[in-house]
Amino acid sequence: MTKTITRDDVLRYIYKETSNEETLAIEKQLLVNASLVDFYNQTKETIRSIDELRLEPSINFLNNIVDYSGSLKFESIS
Amino acid sequence: MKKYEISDSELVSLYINGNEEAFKELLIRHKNRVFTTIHLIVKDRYLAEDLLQETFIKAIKTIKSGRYNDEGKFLPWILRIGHNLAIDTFRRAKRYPTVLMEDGSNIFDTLEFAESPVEDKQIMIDSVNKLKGHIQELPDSQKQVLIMRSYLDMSFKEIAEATGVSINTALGRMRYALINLKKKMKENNLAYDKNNYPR
Repeated sequence: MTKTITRDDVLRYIYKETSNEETLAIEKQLLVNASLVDFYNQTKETIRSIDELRLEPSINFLNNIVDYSGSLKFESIS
Repeated sequence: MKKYEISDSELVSLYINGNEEAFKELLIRHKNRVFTTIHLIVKDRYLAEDLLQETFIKAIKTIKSGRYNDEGKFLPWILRIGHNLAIDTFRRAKRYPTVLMEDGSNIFDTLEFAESPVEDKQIMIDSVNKLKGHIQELPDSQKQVLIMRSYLDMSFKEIAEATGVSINTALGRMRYALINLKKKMKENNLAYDKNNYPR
């Protein structure tokens, strides 16, 4: 019997958390199930918006880290 | 995920062979992702910067002492270091990061707008602030899963374990969070436009 593909399955698929077998089954359903396709597209779009949000640290901290790295010799740490 | 000409794995190898510029490239490549992850947990910019520094110093020590062995997966490895340091900070303060988003006004004040024209910057700031507001309006349980999955890069299985619920519950919370966000974005005509977001 074929397993019913749910929206939670599609969500795991978007985040690449499905097995090869599940992936094939979901992709097959996405070819014929308009409701799932709609959910897939809407969800991908929302996730993309969230993922694009990025904060930036101050430049001083970056310089400190780079300076620290330059001052440390390889294999000098126990 | 961005594709680079030189992979993280190659940069780590170059760094191990004494190329400090390779480390600088790794730092520039991933600093914002790690910083955002830490910031969303500790909710304090200055503390987040301290923890970011500590994260990369731990990474430097591990690599330079010859103990780095992460099969080329540098980003998940360093994200996990940052995440653990941020969570430890909460534990020391005897707080649990149930509500991970900050209510302060300056959380998104240093986004990468440097090369954009002034009017574009304003559009970006408005879009980002609206989205941030929508995320903050979500129920705590949905907000928590959304942040853990999107910014901490945790799998649904890991989220379920960390929050003491089933995978199905974690998935359901994420799904409702995304549906609610989409609804709010639609109401505010905040459709995704890649030009509205910083690179």
